[in-house]
Amino acid sequence: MDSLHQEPDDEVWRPSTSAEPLGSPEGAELAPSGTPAEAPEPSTHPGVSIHETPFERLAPGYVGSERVGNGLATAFVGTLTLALLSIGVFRGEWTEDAWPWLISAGALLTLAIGLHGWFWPPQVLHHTRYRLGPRALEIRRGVVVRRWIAVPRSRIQHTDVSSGPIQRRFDTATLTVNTAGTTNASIGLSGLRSRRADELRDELMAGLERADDDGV
Amino acid sequence: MEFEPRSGMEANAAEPSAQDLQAPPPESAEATSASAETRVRRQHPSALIFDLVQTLRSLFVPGLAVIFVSRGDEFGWEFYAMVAVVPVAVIQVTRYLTLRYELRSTELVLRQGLFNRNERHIPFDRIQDIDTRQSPIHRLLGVAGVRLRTATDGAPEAELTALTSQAIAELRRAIQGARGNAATERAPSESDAHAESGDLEAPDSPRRAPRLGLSARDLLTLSLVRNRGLLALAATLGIAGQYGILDRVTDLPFLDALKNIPGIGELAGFGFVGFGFVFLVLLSPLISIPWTFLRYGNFKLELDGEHLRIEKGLWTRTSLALPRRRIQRLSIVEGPLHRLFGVVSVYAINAGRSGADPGATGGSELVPILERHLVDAFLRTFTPEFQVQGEWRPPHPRARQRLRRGALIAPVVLGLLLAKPLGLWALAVTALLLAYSLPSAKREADWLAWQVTEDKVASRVGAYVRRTIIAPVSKLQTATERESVLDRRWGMRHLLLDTAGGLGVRPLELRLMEAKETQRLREALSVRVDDSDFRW
Repeated sequence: MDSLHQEPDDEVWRPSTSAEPLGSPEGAELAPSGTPAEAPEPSTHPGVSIHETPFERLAPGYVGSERVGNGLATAFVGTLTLALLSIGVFRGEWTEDAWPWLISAGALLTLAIGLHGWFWPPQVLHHTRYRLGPRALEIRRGVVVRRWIAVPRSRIQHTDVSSGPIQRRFDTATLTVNTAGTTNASIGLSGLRSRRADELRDELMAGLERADDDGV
Repeated sequence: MEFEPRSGMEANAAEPSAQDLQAPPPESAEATSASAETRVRRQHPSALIFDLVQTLRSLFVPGLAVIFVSRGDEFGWEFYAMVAVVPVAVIQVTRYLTLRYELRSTELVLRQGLFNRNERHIPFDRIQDIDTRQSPIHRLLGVAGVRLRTATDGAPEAELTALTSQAIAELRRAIQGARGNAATERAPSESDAHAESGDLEAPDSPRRAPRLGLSARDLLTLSLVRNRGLLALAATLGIAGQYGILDRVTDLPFLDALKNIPGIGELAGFGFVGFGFVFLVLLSPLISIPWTFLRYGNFKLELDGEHLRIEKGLWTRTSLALPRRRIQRLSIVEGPLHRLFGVVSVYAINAGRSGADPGATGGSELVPILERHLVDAFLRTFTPEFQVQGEWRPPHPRARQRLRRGALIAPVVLGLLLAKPLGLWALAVTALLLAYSLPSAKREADWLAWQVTEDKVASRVGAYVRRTIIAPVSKLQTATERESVLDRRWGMRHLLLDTAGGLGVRPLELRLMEAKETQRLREALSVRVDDSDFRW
């Protein structure tokens, strides 16, 4: 889990690869020749791939905090539906044929939101993985449409850690990584343990400062 | 005197690299001080007129609305709203009277305001673009409008409505002098100073900088490729229809006579309008050709050290200087009409310039029209960092089937949904949609390709409008693989590569690739991107 703090490894590794001339084995790998497709699992040659760091999962507290938040949203929608319906019914603006339908539609909507709010977070938890490798922050996410995002460390402009009141109850936080890009200008990763989020931020910032010291 | 944007520019083209090689910033300050050390300068007096005209123009449409709404009977609140012009005018007079700028050794200081004094310091090395704009009236007065841009998105950092040519030249010198280090980077090869027919090689050019001009024939092709005339006519017709002018046309007396002829009857009116429309379509080049000549006449693209300088326009002449290293992505666009004439358009997407050119979202138009066989030479000459030399690689072998399947889905589903209300007509709707989507899928599959070389990524996308998008690895930001449910079934993924750029810019996408390929590329690219040095 805490294999990220491999300072010496990182120190040695970074310059060695950047000094490597383009067109080296790594370049050959990049050029889409008939190289045998490598398995996605940890590769054996050190210093070349970014498979060294194992993927981590979100904190289990993510599910709880999301469910509480979604529960509040459901309660809000439910109350709103009920209030609107009762106003309509009592003022007699709807005919008697219509209101059972409206009530069931409102109930269904509330139920759908509630069920989604209850069953979705575990799915997200199950499908989200991240790792902070020596080169990039990688995030795997998406229950239906899957995404594998790689944010190269040198492209990170700044990072934020935020934690709302519900998140704080569950000791989770959101790490937001900002790049100079457009569509992925800011990438949020919520459901980290607060301490882990802080660690990640510090780690990312340390990497950036190091890079700046190098004059990069 | 006549403002000659070229004279000032040529001087710059020659000086900065020569001068900056031995002259670091401090000395450039001396160059400025030759005239007067940190002298406070003001705009040309005509700036006041231009500002006011600009305001009046921005009030023109609301003004028209007022005229139409109030119907001339009496002046309603709309009229009094127009009185708002007065304070705006007062504000502009004060702006003119109080605006002063000062060229210091490393920065431009802009002061304005009467009650709320505003002082803005813009370091020269942060100024990215110097755009000038010169309408005939500007030219008559020997002035030009200037916009200074930094990497910040949106509005220009400083806008000066009217400066004399000397003042602009001085400003350019100060900025380019301060940016010495950028200009010392390797100058591009001058050997392939290639220019299209009708080139604009100035005889007095002290150093042969590569440049590209457009001949009359190019402009003619351009006007046909982008038929603005048709658009203008369509808009005119729309407005005419709105105000009942069309009805009046169809009620012309001789049409009445026609209507009385048995057999033709009521169709005459429609026929007349239809004929008129065809006539207008044929006539549209008469509008679009002059429009193109006025807008792109005397077009010139020039490589000036680390800048690309684009000048165009006969009526209002615009000039913009684009630092090459700020180009994030290049997009070569080829629509159906382009193909007919064997030409392409080249756009650049650059950081901090969202929608500066209305013709291209989030980018600048480098060349409105370029013969296709010249694209390679163009890239080699003007933007070598975007020259693609690798081999185009096909997408997933089953991408074609996948696209065809996708093209079937929407029309068939729509046909089924419409089956009940429309009956057999639903079949016709489906057939019509398929007649569009299936060839479109085929075209897309034929065009889709990608390449990743050591320092560049390029992708070909689009069906009818084909795009080739090129980005250097050093400009990439994040790399994302995306896989929808359908993709998963077909074993495909898309690789989306994000770059900086204006609003509404979509990521560079390598579409429908083998899942293993995207994964390998994403990992290799993220390492390579991390190694490379990103600068705005």
